[in-house]
Amino acid sequence: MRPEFPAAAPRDPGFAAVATELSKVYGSGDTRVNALDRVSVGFTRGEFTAIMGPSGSGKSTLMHCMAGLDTISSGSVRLGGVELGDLNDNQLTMLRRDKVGFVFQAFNLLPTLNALENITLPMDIAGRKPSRAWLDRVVGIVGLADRLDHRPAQLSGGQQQRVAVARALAARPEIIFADEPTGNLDSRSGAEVLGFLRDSVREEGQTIVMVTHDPGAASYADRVLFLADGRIVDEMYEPTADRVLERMKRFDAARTT
Amino acid sequence: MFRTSLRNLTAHKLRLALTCLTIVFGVAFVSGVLIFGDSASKAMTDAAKHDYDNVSVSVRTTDAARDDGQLPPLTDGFLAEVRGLPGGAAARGDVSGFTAVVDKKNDLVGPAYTAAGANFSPGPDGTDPEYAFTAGRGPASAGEVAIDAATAEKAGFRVGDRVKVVGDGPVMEKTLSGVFTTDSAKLRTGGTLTLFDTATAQGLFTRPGSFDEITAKAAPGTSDAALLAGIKPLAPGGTKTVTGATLAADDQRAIKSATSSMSTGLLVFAVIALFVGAFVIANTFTMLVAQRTRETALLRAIGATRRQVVRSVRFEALLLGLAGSAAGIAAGAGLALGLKALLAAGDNGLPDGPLVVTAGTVVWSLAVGVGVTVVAAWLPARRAAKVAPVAALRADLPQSAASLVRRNVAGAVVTAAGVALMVLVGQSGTPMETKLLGIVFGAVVALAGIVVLTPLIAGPVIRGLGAVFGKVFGVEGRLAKENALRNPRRTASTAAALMIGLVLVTAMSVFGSSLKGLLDSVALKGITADYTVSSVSHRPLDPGIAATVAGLPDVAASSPSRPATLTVAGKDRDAKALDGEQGFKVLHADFLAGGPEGLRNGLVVSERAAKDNGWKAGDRVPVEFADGKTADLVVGGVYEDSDLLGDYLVSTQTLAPHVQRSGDEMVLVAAVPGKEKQLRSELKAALGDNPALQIQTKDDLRKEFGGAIDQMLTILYGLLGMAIAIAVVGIVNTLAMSVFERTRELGMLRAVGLDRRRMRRMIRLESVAISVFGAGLGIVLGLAAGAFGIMSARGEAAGLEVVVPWDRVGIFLGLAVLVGILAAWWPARRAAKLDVLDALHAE
Ligand SMILES: Nc1ncnc2c1ncn2[C@@H]1O[C@H](COP(=O)(O)OP(=O)(O)O)[C@@H](O)[C@H]1O
Ligand SMILES: [Mg+2]
Repeated sequence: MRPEFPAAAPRDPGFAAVATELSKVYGSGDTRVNALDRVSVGFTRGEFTAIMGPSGSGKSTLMHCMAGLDTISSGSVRLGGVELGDLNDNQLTMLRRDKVGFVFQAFNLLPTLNALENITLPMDIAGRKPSRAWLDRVVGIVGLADRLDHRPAQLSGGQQQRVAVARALAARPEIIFADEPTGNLDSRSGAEVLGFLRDSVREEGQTIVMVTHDPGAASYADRVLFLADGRIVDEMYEPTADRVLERMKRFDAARTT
Repeated sequence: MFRTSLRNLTAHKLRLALTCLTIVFGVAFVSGVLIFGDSASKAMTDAAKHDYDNVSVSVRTTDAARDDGQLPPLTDGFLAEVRGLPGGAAARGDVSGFTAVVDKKNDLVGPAYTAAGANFSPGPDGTDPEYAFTAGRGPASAGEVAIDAATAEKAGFRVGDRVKVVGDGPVMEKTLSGVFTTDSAKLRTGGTLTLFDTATAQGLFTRPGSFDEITAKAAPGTSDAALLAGIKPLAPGGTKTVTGATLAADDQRAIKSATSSMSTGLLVFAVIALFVGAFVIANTFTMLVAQRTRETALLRAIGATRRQVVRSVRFEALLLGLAGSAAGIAAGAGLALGLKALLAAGDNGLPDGPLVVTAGTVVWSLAVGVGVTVVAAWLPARRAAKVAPVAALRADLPQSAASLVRRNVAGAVVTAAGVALMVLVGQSGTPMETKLLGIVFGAVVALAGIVVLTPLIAGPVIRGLGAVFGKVFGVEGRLAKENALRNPRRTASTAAALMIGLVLVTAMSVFGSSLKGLLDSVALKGITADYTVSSVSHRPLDPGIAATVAGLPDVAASSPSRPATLTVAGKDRDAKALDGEQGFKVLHADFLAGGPEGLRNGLVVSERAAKDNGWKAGDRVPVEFADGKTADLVVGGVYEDSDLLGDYLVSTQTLAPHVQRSGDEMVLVAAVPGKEKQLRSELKAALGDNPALQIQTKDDLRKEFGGAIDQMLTILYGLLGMAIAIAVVGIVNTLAMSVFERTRELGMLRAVGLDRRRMRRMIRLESVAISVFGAGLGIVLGLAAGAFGIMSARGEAAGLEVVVPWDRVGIFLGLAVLVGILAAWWPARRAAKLDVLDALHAE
């Protein structure tokens, strides 16, 4: 038996996730850090969003808060129509299980499971049977059909990250969060992984939010959000690597002056 | 480098505490046993110090003479002679035996085995220096008794009350003439002591005019040796004359040897606990060394030599061993105190005394604790030295994939050698003692081999368990299995620690149940009587009881079973005397030749005895009795060997003329058909409702014997409990380590939707997989070892068969699951409490 989430409000049908006036404060007193400062943002269904910004600007924090991995200090986060602030730890866990996919920089696969088992892990946890056809499709998208019985230790970094992407896609989550998914990969493997992410958005209507440092990676997205000091300071549609790089240079300039 | 040892020790406080705990447990056991033994020995020797202050010379019946059913030849006349000797200041005669006081509810006061009766032996002034009266006076006539103050208080008796006293015969009712206290050794074990006037005591325990012991005190100016020289020529045969000092020294020696053999017995279990502890310690150090690979590599990269690395790990072990042992000694003192308190509460009357912690105890405990720790850390330390400096620079540490092939081959060879030894010795014709030693040695070798093989065995067993877990618990079951399999060496050595305890516990249980089975199938089958009458103190019964029983109306047949000694062809043989007419109506023998009628005037022997002596039924053979007289008896029958009957049977009628004092082990009674129920109350009434006598059916006997075996087993389980507790600490340790190592994975699992409850369950299942594997393997090996032991002993006891105690096996497995769950409690909590983000970003 799965407890019901608080009833989904039909207010934001177009968005997979919405943050309103979201603030996150770490520490108190002298060590107080405003990691997020009244951020309002929505992630449209079927859109690939990249989040960029200087180190320490709050990218990861935003992602964690929206994914139900971290608590928020004030404001609101709605995911798939559910207000996260109303959920306790167990409900958050189940929300993540059922509605969120993750791709981490460090792959984070279970070394004891083979590729296929890693891919189906979230569904196994949820006790759901993956549809065979969909699974074949996902495996096809990431090009792992002949590696499914390999353990992570027998796979290259790029292959491992493809397994991680497939794991996120397989459960058909409401939204996938990827934190610097290409950070540990060489450029070719990185490009492959980014290609799969984009394809899943284009072809399957998946919603993806990706944090990245790399303007080239950001250029795969439909939209780029720029964060600085915990605030969204800019956004860009149909980004190209060059335009993103230009925009980023301005941050560096701002910092050096 | 020593600084890094210290740093390392303090870096993982919890792991350190757990490892320390295993040392503390083991050392506490060792030091506890030593301290308790020394304290008990001192308390008892101190208490016994003044036992012979008033004894210069003692004349006692020799043990041999007493066992032969002969009366002590120490008569009134001899006592008078001793009194008349020059240099003898005072002499007294003592008799003692079993009597117990019956309380107002008709129950015995205190346990029967510590109850005693003796004679009140007043001097010319009417007092007996042995006893100080707190009320009333000593018994002066056959109608009076005095009892010790503690018993009087317990039972609520006052001077002048009528008191029921029982011995081996009928119930006696006497007037309480006084209540006393005494230093006498007879009361030291916390029992009851009843005093009779000398003539009554002699009537009860010996024969009028005859004593068990005569003691004399030398007059001032006469040495003990001189008095001894004076008495010795007068002493009759069958007695031993020694000085009080000799007796005191003998007693002290006996106490010391008893306490030291008790300590040795307990130390065996302490050694087992330490051995198991060594596994846990070795495991911890292996884990620590593996975890610190990068750190070690860095040290090596910046110039530390292999030697230094190894030394630093060993130094760490040394410090840990010292700390654990010191705490263990303190805990051991506590353990000894607790044990003393427990015994005191249980009325087992260990005399009071201080806790004795000798330098030897401290040195031994430290040496053992530190030694075990350093030896256990020996190999892990060497592994640390193998870390290449380059490992510091590589991000991805290669898993230690050292092959198990060599290990498996070695394990298989050792196991095979052990089993071969067991089989060879088991089948050889060597005497039982050597055989047993050989088998135990072979079993230990085989067990060592199996321990080496556990990683190999762990694979399939845990995969099998995991399949069940997966079916029942889903993902977390499967993940638990994978986790338990991830490091087979670690899982194996964690489980092996538990296995060792279970092997012993299970093997003992097999012995216990097989012995019970033997009782059922052989001993009890041979009893055809409906009831047996025996003394609750297991002392010989007065022959009058057999006579009383025989005269009851509803008795169809009855016979005493009376121990005797016969000398056949110069060798003393244990024999039994049964009633010549009715013996085989209450006991059953399978006759191979002759028959029950052969008992009346002859000798009936077992097949074994017939073979030993080369006798056939009908032979006329010379037999010497305890009184030295020889008779030619006809071998009237030969029966199949039976533990119940023994090898030589004669009739009580044949034996009677040769013994002066006889006592029956039991009286067997068969009822007139249909009168079984009535007979019980009839017997009870005829025996004066004597609570010192028990009337038992075969079922009662089975329960009594079974209860004794169960009690023995319970004590053994308790002693092995420490080893098992240490193994459980080992499981906690391994799990804590696993959780720590896999922090990031756990974070990922939480991120993708495993909730805290299922996270806890995953860790618990991993723990249960380890504990059930260890316990299961231990149970299987224990069953095998137990069965092998029983089969090898079959030659010793006809009808001994292997009986597997399935109920206990089930309980052990259930407990193993419980142990797994308990061991996982804290690690699982820790895993569940992990913050998802912290865990994801853990190194
Ligand atoms: N657990 C934490 N405790 C305290 N401060 C934190 C914590 N996590 C992040 N921060 C701070 O919040 C700010 C934003 O961090 P983060 O979201 O990780 O930035 P980014 O991912 O953009 O580099 C930084 O100043 C960082 O130091
Ligand atoms: Mg970040």
